[in-house]
Amino acid sequence: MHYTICDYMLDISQNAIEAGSKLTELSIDQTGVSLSVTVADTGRGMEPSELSRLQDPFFTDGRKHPGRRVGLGVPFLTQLLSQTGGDWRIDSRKASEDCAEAGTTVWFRFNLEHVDTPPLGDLVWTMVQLFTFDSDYELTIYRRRTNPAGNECSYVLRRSELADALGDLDSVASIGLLRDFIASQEASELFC
Amino acid sequence: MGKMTLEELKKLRAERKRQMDMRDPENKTIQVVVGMGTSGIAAGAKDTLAAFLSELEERGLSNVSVRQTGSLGLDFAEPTVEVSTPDMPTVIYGNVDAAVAREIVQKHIIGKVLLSDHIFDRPAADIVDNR
Repeated sequence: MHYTICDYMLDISQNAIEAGSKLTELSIDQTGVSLSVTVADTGRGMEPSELSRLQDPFFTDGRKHPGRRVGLGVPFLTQLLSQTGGDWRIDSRKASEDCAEAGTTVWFRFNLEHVDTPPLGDLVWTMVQLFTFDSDYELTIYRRRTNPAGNECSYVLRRSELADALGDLDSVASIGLLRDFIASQEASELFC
Repeated sequence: MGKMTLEELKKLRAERKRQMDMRDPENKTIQVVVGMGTSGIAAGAKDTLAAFLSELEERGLSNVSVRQTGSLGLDFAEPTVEVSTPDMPTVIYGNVDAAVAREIVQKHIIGKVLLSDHIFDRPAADIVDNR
């Protein structure tokens, strides 16, 4: 099983990239009591019959991992949300005459006050991993935090801008600098 | 810590690259690919990746390419890592936790010696001892 909320976030975001999404948007919105995550992609999308089987741990599309008999990422997540007073919704569409663009949107919200909700995990490191996946894709991360006093801080990160600044996203030097850059965005005097 | 800007990031990267090119003008290519599918994440591959980056940075090998892939196909042996270095056969290591990751950097990448106990795929039997 995955352990931290970041593990689930990484898994669902990877699904988007592996579905061939050329533009994926990840929103992470945190208050003192809840953490909401939205992963919206422009990948190949799902038919209603596939969407209805997402929570089946023995359902997989057969393309991503041809020899595999299980698809555990979504069942892991929805089971945990059910056990911890969270919520979730998944919408998906294939390209059609009425809707030119295919894609999937996964939204989930964790109740941070529930005793069984796992820790967030290392969000900086998770974002580094999401940006350095070995594929050609654009990823935009919108991050927002609101402290109990109602003060808010936010930032936006785009893979194309980071790749432009660093030159590459797979050398140890670039990954180290990327980590430092994201850590500087995440650090805020409001949350010390 | 103040927020870094993209311009500052660009300048830092350019400076690091200048330093690396002075140290390693031949720019040999060493590649490490970490399997990061659902089974990899569940087995702790995130820590494996972090350990590789940390050890490579500490030893000044910042020109190495470190990538993630969905799965290397050996889910029962996760975390799995494929290592390609000049002058060595490309191998896939299995059950690579953070400690083994550091050992791979020290023994395989720097020392040019295969870690026979952790190999799960290899090019030819006569290259590996005890298999």
